This record gives sequence, structure tokens and C-alpha cells, in this order.
Amino acid sequence: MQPPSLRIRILKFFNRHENTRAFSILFPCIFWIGIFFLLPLVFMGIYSFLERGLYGGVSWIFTWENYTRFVDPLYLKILLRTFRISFITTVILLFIGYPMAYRIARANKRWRNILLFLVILPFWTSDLIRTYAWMLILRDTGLLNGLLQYLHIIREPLTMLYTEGAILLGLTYVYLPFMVLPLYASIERLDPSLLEAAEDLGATPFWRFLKVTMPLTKSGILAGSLLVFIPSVGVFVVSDLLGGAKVMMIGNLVQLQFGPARNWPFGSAASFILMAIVLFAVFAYLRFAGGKEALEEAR
Amino acid sequence: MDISVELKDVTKQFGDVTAVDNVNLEIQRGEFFSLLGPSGCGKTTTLRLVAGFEHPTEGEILINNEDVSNKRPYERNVNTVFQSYALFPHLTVAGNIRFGLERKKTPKDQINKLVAEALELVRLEGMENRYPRQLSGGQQQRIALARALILHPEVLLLDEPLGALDLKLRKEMQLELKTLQEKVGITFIYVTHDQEEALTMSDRIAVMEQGHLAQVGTPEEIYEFPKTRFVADFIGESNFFKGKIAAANEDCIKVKTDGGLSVTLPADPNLSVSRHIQFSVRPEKFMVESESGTSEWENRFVGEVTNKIYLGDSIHYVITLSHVEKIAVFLKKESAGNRQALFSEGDKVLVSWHRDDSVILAD
Repeated sequence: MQPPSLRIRILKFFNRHENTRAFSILFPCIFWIGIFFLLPLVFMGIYSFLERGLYGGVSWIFTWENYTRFVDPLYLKILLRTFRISFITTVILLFIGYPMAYRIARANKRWRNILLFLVILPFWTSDLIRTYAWMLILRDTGLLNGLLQYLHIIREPLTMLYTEGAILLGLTYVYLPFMVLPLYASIERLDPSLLEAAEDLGATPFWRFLKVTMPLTKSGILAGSLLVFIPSVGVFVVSDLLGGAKVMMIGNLVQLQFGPARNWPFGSAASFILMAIVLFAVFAYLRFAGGKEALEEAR
Repeated sequence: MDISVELKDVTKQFGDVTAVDNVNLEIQRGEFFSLLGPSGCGKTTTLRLVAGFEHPTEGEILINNEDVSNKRPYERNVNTVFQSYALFPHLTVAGNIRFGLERKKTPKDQINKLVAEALELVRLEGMENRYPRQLSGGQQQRIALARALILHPEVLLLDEPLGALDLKLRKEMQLELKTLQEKVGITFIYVTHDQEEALTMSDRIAVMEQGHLAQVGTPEEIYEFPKTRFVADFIGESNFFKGKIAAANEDCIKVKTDGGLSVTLPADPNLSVSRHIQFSVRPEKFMVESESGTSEWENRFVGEVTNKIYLGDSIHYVITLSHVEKIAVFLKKESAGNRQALFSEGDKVLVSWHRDDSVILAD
């Protein structure tokens, strides 16, 4: 008898080692994440415990200082502001995004495609350009102030740019699609006869929303909130352009440390603190809002 | 008797389409009433109008003598069992059943008692904590029933509730539903396209055709005396004849059919000589004998068996009368003292039927 071909031998090997087979499929992905995500993270983790070099770079001396430095009220304030802005952005987007997604999901097929297209249309240009556009609108000599003055509603220009409000506006604008799309997906799946059944069983529109619509679209609410909240916490372009130096978010701090300040260890520490807090917040949120099931799913 | 639901000149239009066309109906309290018709005949829209999911373009809907035409479903004392059951997937069986009660602010221990009772009623005790997806189709169906019945509605609306079940289970559930309805005494309005289902379960049936009522009556009336060709055709099977009245008196009508048969029909004062009419005869009303048969019925014709289908307890023949009129004949094998012998294709036979078994149709 002829010895089995290499192909057959490989197949037989995989039949005996199911786990190896699964691993071989995942290998490219694991390789990619390992090199381009985990490795840099490990470097940053190490850097965050080192001292800053005299001319940038790092000195290989162990220290806790980069973390203890964060207790400074200045940084705590930035941290707090970051979470406040991200939280408010998420809440505002839930209130804007839910009715929007609901309407799109319930529109007829032709309109649905047009509306969905309009939702993702802003992706065609970069955040940066769209944020610059907001600067033109909001600044003291900008479009909005000009219009209000022309209409004699105000005499002196209002300070709109470089405020927390401007950041909120920019973030809600930039992240709207991230809220609408997952909500749309979950609402579109909702069986209309369930809503009729609720009404039939005596539920007023509000009660129906509370007891049927919302629980059944929970996955969309959770996904949308996370997709908006997590990137908002780490944002720096929008807050840099619309908030400036006066209203700094933690993303700007990190950018500052890695850029102009050339303090990589402190920037790394800031990133790790941010990551730890976001991780904690997300798990707390899933546990609180999603119950055990959502937590399992997230895992 | 009390009237539970009344429809007065109800019309419902969707754009250019008239789904329900000037329907008038009175449904008695405690009645098992079926809306029967092919898909697109407006039966489901009629049901949805009563439920409150749709509102009439014209006319009034009265439930318990109160005009509810423009009330929302949650303002009506009416509950629905949906074709898809529409059980809430995020709630347990108990959660589904108590959904309506919670809204009514019933005390908690009373709710638990009622839920247990409802589960007992549909024979699903001990299923409280299951989720709908863990139940079979038949069980889900019963939960949907329990969920609606627990609210003691004035009327229970059922939209093809057995449509998704397999044949055997459907037969069981038909009986169960009928028994249940008699037990609770609530008015049932039952939408179906299955004529057999409607015949076995209903006290009265409304046959619908293209948005209007073709005929309303007891199952027997509808089956034995269909008013139109549509009804005769939709309910059971029928042989249709067209012809011209050759003679008419107080006793009977003589018709010369298009196929050349001289048929005697029961008298009808509204019909006169030389009118063109249409009548039907049910396939099981025929007697079939060998050519030298002794039938004394007036309608007696010689024909030839052109087709035979053997079905075990019965036999279906297609017989051609006078070379033109093809009729379907259903014979029970053991009926009529076994006088009816078996025939084969090509046999010459004597076919006869009683004059009262010819039903004159309005169209």
C-alpha cells in the first residue's frame, strides 16, 4: 500500500487535534493583534513605570511617580470632565438617536435605504474637516454669531467656541451614526405584532415602550452607548479644535505628553489609567443595564 | 339575545384598495363566530378593525353597545390571539400571562392566583418560569390564549390561530378551543381560510369575498344552502349547472341545462320562465346505480364513468352526463345498504338526485 499523501496526513492530524485546527484558522488574527496591539501595549505598560529621559525618551529607572502624579487636582479635574462630557454625549445621543432609528426602521423600504444612506453620509469626509467646519460656525466672527447679530438678536458675539458646550455639540455630531446604526439594527428586528399584542393587552404607548420596546431593543441601546461612550472618552481631535487649551480632555493630555511635552512615561500612565477606568465603567454599565446575560455576551 | 359586537356599514380603505366594503354584522354574546374566506378577502382586516389596530374609513363598530370606532386597542375590552402568537420573548410564561393584569393594577397575590388558574385552564401547569422559545408551537398557542382570556374580554379575537400547527395538533386544538369557548362563555370571533375548521367549530359563519359578506349563517345553512356560486365553491365542493327555465309552477321548476339535461328544481316564486339561472349539487347528493337502476327521483340521467379515485372509506367518480356535463360524485362505500356497487372507468351508470338537493344560486 502507498503511504498516504501529505494532504491526507495533514487532514488526519487536524481531525485528531480539533483545537489545533481552530487555532490555525485564528492564527493570522492572533499574529496581527499580537504584533500591532499587544506588543505596543506592553511597551507602554513598561514605559509608564520609567522616568522621563532628559531630552525625551525614557531613562530605565523604576518609579511610581507617573501614577501618583495623577492625584493632582488638575489632572483629576480633566479626568472628571472627560467622563462628564462622554456621559452627557451618550445620553443626548440616546435621546436623539432612538427616535431617529425608530423612524428609519419603521419607514417603508425605499425611504429606509435613503435615510440610512444619509446617516452614514458624513463618514465620506474626515472628522477633522467636519470639526473645522464647526469651528467656522461657532467662532466669535463665525456664521452663527454673524447671523444672530445680523438679526439683531445679540449685540456682542457669544463665546461658543472653546467651551464644553462646543465639545458636546461636536461629539454628538460626530458620533450620531454610531448610536443610530446599532439602534436601527435592533429596532428593525422587532416584530411589530409584539407591539400590537402589548397594546391589545391594555398597554398605553408609554407603558408599551417601557415594557416591550425598550427591553427588546436593549442590545441596540447597549451597543450604541458603548460605541459612543468609549471613543468619546479617548477623543482628542474634536476636543482639541472645539475645546482648545481651556477645556482639555484626557485624550488631549495624552497627546500633549507624547507630543510637545515629550513625556512618554507620563503619557503612558495616563493612557493606562484611562483604560482601567473605561474597562471598569463598561463592565459596571453592562452589569447594571444589561444584567448577567449582556455581561456573558460581552465576554 | 345580547349583541356583543355590531358592525354598521363598515368600510375600510387602504389608499385605493377597499379591504372591507360596507359590512354589516351582529354577533351575539357567547357566540363562536367565524370569518371565513380566501386570503385577501378582508377577514383579517375586519378582525383588526374590531381589535382597534385599524379604524374604519366609514361606519361604526359597537362593542357591548358602545361605539368604539375611534378607540385605541388598549381602550377596548377586546383581546387578540395572533397568528404568530406574538408572545413576548423577554418574558417568562407567567410574565406573558400577567402582562395585561399588571397594567390593570391587580394586587400581586391575586395576579399569581389568576395566572395559575389560566395555566390550568389551558393545561400547562408548572410552566410559569419557562420562556416562550422553550415551548412547542401548540404550547405557545395555549399561552397566547391564556394571556388573552385572563383579562375576561367581552370578545376574544383569533386570527388563524391554528395555522402554524401540524394537521393532527390542529384537529386536537379545534376541539379544545371549542370546549374552552363553551366553558368560558366569551364571544369568539375566529378568522380562518380553512372551511372545515369553520364548519366544525362555529355557531355561525360569515363567508367573505373581496371585502364584502357573501353569506352569513349557521354551518348547516352555509353548506346546504349556499346563496352564491362563490360560497358553494368555497365551502366544500359543488357541481355547477347553468341553464334556462323551461317551465315553472308552484310545485317545481324545470330547467334545460346548457348541456341539454332536463332538471327538476324546487319551486321558487321569484323565478319565471326563460330566465337563465345557475344551480349547484353537492357531490355526495348523487345516487349511482347500474344502467338498469330503479331510482324514482325525477333527475335521472345515464352517464359514463370517466374517472375514479379510490379513497378507502369513499370513492370519488367523475361522470359525464349526456356526453357534455361532467360531474363529480362522492360515494361512501358502506352507505345506502351497500346498494351502490363499485364501478370502473367506462361503465355506463344511472345517476340520480332529489330535486331538493339542487340549490339555486343568486349569481
